[in-house]
Amino acid sequence: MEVGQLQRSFVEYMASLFREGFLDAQFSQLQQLQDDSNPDFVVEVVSLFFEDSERLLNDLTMALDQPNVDFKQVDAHVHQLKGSSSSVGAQRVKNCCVPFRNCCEEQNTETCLRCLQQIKQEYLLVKNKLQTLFELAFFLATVGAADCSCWRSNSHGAITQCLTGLASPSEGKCLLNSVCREEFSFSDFLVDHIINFIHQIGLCLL
Amino acid sequence: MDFYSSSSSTISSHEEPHVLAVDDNLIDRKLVEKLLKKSSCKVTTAENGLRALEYLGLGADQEHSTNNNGSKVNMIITDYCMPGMTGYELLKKIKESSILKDVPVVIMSSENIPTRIDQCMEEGAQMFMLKPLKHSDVKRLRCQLMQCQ
Repeated sequence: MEVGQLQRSFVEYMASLFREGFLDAQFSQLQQLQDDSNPDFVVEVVSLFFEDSERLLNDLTMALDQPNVDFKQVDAHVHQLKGSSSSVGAQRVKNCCVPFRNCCEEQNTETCLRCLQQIKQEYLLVKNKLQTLFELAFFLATVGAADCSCWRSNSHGAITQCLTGLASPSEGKCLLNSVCREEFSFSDFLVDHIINFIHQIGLCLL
Repeated sequence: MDFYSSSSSTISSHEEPHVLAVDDNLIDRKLVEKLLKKSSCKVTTAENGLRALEYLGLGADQEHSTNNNGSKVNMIITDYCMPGMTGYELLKKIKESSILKDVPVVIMSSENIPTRIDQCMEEGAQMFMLKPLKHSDVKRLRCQLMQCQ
């Protein structure tokens, strides 16, 4: 397992997010806006999107739970969510908003609740995908920065073993832990990140 | 091409035009700010029409003489759908001001509604743009409103 292979996996993972419609061209716009003056721009905007969406989804849940639903208020929240998701390129979430607004117009609580359920699912999906993407990028940036000679030492074999040792995740985890801390002197924070990432993206790297 | 414009009035070019961006959505505010900065603009953001008017010195209980921010602003870009005061209402207030009526005002909206667009253009909006804004939209806007460097 080399850095090059990891990088290819990253590219492939990102491409799949576009192909499967989780992300659209607007996300590419965000990436293009990122530069040296603001190297964390995409992560910052997407984090804002997560906070904003979770707040809106809570507000929507509460609004639809009222005995007399204020559909204008519900519609206003959906409009906000549509705007935010559109601005970050979260295509599937954005697409859920259109039928939702129709249900608001028809003032149908039941169909609105079904729309809410769907939007929650789509939101959690894209959140998970994006977090994985960021962790992968983070891991790559750090590993890429590490001394490349490490990859040619025994540690390389150890890391490969960890990655292929996903069948026994706890064993792989222990090994990875010790390799990262002792060989690379990675911080606890980074090790947690790597372990998390390995578990999530796991098989796609093999 | 998702924007509409009136015939442009030539505005003298500045090294870094100062733009006031108004939007109630935090993500959109961050985006428009980044887009404008990338096009070499100095940016001030406001989260609603009232705050925008206060910044410009047009607030309800402000004296024009104590606030000259308005004279420093080269362009105002505002979202249409905002709670309280819409972008259209903000546009009207700006056009009613003797100090600010010549500052170009651009309206943004996520919805392509012809009557809304006409309404804004008739009230004197410089341009109407569809969200989400792209880098190419802002570049074009900057070139059209200011003499290109």
